[in-house]
Amino acid sequence: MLSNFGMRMLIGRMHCQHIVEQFYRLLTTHTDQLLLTHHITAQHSHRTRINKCNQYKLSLRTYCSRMSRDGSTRNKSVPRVLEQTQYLQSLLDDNVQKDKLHYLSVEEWDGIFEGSSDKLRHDNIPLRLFEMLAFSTDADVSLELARSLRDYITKKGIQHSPLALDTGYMVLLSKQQGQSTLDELLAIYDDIRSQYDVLDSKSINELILAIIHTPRWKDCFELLEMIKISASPTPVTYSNIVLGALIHGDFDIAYQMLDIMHKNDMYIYDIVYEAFLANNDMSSVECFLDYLRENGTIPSSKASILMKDWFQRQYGKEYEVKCETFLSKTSDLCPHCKIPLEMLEPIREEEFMAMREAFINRVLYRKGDVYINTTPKELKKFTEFLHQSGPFDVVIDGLNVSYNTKRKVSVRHRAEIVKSVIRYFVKQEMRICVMSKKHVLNSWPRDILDYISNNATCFYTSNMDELRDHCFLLGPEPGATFKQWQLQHQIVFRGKTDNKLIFRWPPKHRTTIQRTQHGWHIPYEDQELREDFKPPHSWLCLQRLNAKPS
Amino acid sequence: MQKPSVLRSIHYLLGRCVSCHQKRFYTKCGMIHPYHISTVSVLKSPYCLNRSIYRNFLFCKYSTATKAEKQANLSSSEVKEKLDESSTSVNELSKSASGSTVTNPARELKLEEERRATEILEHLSPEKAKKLKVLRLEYDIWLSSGHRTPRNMTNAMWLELLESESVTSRNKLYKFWCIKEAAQRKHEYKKQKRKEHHLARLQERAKSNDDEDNTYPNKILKKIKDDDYHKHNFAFSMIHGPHLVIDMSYDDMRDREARNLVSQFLKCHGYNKTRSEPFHFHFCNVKKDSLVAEALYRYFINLDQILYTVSEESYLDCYPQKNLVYLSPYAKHPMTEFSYDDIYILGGMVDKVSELPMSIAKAKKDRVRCVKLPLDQYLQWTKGSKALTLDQMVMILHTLKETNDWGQALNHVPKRKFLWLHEKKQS
Repeated sequence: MLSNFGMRMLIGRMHCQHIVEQFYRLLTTHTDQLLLTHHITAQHSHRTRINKCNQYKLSLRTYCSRMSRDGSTRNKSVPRVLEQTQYLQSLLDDNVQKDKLHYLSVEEWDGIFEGSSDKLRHDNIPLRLFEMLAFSTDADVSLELARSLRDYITKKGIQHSPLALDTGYMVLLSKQQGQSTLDELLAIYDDIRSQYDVLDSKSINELILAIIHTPRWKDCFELLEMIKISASPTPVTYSNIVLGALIHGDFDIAYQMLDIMHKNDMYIYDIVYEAFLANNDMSSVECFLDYLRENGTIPSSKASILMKDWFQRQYGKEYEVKCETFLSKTSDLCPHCKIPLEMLEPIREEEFMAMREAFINRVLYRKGDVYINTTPKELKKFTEFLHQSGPFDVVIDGLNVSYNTKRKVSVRHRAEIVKSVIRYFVKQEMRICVMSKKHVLNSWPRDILDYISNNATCFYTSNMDELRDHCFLLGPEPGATFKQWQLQHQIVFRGKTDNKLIFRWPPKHRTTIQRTQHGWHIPYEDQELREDFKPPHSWLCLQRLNAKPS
Repeated sequence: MQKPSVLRSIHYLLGRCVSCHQKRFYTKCGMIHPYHISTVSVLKSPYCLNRSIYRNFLFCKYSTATKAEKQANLSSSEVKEKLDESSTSVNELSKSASGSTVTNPARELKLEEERRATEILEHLSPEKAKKLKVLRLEYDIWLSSGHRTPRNMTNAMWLELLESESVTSRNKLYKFWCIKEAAQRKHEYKKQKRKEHHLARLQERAKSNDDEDNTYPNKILKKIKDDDYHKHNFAFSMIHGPHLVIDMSYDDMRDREARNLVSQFLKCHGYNKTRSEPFHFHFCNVKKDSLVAEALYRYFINLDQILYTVSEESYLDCYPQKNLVYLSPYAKHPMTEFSYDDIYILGGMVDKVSELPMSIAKAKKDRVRCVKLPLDQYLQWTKGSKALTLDQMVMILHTLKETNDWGQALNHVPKRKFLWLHEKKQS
């Protein structure tokens, strides 16, 4: 329907339901972004969070798992978690000297924990300390110290789960080098597998994290199937398996896993980028970049830094290398190498038709329940209207445009804005359609309504409203097409200065990784939360110039 | 059920104190002020029209004194005679009263559910049994590593966990049960304290007036249950109105939501029955074997004994279409006043996940008038959904009906949702 009448552009802001969905998804699955979303609510910078994590020698994952432990009180628990880690760290620092990180006896541990129970109420401090040691990102955590703490917990009869203790210890072992630790790790692993025929998702995630560093890493797939009994695997699970495959040089499996992640719209963790880019084989890295390009994946800002490092390392010896960042807001031309970015391809006809079909059935007719959004009578009227008056060059969501001002302005002022937008497009000799609601006819001034009806074709609805959740309702494939269509066709009206209207025009270039003759153009995420229909503005320009004189 | 006319007369009788002849509605002691009980020979009263009904009201629930002591304290000989006559029935009554405390219907329901869950858990498919094993392991790990998990798990809880698909949803359930468990523990602790306090007071009293008249004030009358009034009122509203239709056609709900819905009905009923002119609830479109219908019968325990109508019919078949008015938060036009001619319809649904304008869709489909409450005109709204719960709606409608004042009626909207109430209607 939309294609037939050439609805080329759509003005106004879409309702942002799916942004909220995305936000929620990020909150539940994606730890880096979880921090960032906290950053929005707590008004602290992301950088300080990361610094604090480093300060307390805690991985982001542990940090976030602590945060999510309290469920909905996430925001409140952030300072609590920090406080807790700070306290635990101080407990170690005060009582254990750095040079003496050896096996501590029960009495020594008793001395350390003495009087600590009233500091953190309702919390199992030895267990928390063990978790902190096990999942710390710090490389030189003493294995002996952790082992002694583990023995202390079991000997003292402190409440704990043996399984959780074992898996935590395995993660710690996997970070160490050497044959003896490997043997110990595999012994514990065999013990766990023989003891339990099924396991829960938390333990399995930790097992995978440990097992990928050993020759028996292919057990991951068995464990992955086991997760599916009670929960769906998370991106972190898949990312770890990809990491394992890369450690053992099995690219086929790595790409298979990445395919699954792409299909389920999962975020790729930075460890994957790290593992791929650490590879010295140039063709494999380029193959990875091509893969990202095909899937339209946009890497994170940390990954972009890694890519920059890789490029410098790869070509730095032989060529002069230039790595710059730029914003693509204003033009489609890279300001550094003066090479234009690749143009967008229009959406293919059959894809568009599939989306159109899905849109009519699932969004407008609401899978059979037309009455939720509209009535059959009005829908019929609308289709007739499109058949008679189409095609249009531009469609304006009247109320949305009028709403784009300060909060308290008169109705006349609001109407004037719509009028000026229409005037702008009339000057460009476009065919305009204005969509609005019926109550406008009573409230807006007569002369402006006359102007609108003289210069544009209007459709006023009485029932049709709240067309939301498009991407979700459309389903996976038409939804993706819809996002693409929205990216290419939506003009956002940003406001009005004295005599000038400000629009955000859709980009003309592709927003995926691009290969140029002498390098790459890589878009990356610079904002905390980018809506799906907004293009990424930050780009990385990697290019090699002249060969260095040897 | 008795004929309404008879009930009406009893209502009149019961409405006045037998001793001082002043009006006395809805009290614990029925037709007599408690402080008149010992002075008046009730059965001689001219207001006693139907003695057989009256005799049923005779009973001594509160008395801890023995039968002999009781008889010794009776001043009037006539009463004594009557009491002898009805002593058998008194015994029966007290028996049934003590029996009812043992069979607490809520506890029965819980036990019944537990039994059902146990039965289901015993006959699980192999995959589900595997999942249950994983869940038990997960629970152990979470419990021992300090997650927020309830201490006692019942089979009904396991059954609910078995339905959940993700770790997050399980986490939420655990948290919910934790809060519930803590509240339960606190309640039981308080109950224990109260009991101890009560016993101590009884002993003290027994010590202090050993020789004196140590019995309770004489209560020869049956405590007239509030239900006796309510039955009459319900019968009256069933015949003469006003009716309130509850549309039960939304069966796309989860188990917990259906349960919440029924608990809202219970609150509605609790408020409705205390009014002098209650609504007659008409549950329409109750589909047989649907989740909602099952929940309605299971959790609304005494629904059969209350004069409400539950039917599979649509409201279109029961009432003239022009009188029907659907109340929906998504409607365009606000309601102006309560009209006795109109039959109001409330949508019986709880949607915690996605708020879709289902009720207005239904109204559009059935071509029924649809109005919303004038919330914007009277309240300075701050936050929260404008969809109110059913018990709030019933309270608002009752107050509106009684006072014809929107200001008072909209006081039943939760206070967190608005800043202040405008004195007059704002345009």
